Amino acid sequence: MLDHRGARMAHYSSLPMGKEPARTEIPPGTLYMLILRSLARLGPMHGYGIAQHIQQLSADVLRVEEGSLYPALQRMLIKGWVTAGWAQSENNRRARYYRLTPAGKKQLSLEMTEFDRVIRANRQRDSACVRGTTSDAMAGAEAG
Amino acid sequence: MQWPGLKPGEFWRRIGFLFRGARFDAEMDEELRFHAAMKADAYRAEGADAQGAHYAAMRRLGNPVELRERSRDMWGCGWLAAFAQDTRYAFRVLRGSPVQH
Repeated sequence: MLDHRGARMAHYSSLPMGKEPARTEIPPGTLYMLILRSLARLGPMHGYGIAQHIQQLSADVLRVEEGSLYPALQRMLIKGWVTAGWAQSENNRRARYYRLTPAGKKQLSLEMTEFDRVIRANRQRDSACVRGTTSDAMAGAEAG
Repeated sequence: MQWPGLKPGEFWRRIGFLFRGARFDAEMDEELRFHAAMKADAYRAEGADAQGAHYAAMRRLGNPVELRERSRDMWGCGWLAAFAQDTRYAFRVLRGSPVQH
């Protein structure tokens, strides 16, 4: 009989190519913000470390397409939001570490502001909908 | 010097990319190998055997060739990179094949 860990690994092995347990995909633009935020919090990190941190940040609800992290990091290098350099990792392997630049910090601040603005707008819209539904119901009750 | 629509720093980073040639591919491959190795370590720590951990890590990461190409495409100067590669190749051929009289 398989124990809990064995069962999980059997599950991984039985998955067809590219399939994993269902989780919500990270919207493309949000990935940049999450990478910037990880680097701002924890300092220079390699791609694997960033992927792990994003997974933890989202309490395993969001699924990081781990491969898609690398094209995103290349775009961030072009934009000058991060720099990259090779160094020994914690387990003595050579790894490419990414470091946030002042331009990256500025971009993170812009993205966080935009994110807050969208969240606030959504909340206002939702509460307006709730108010509308409640007043419609009350009007209906009064008419009845 | 500046390309229309690009910030100066971005322009020079893109130009620098053209001179990296095969080094870009080698570094991307090494980076993806590192990721797969770390992931496999994590799966082994959860109880997987070495081979199962390796394959599970590769599945989770995705196709390395495709990832390398997508990363390269981000630099958005495919035609210029191909031109630079062709030019380097032409020079190598010309150096190795002097005109016969």
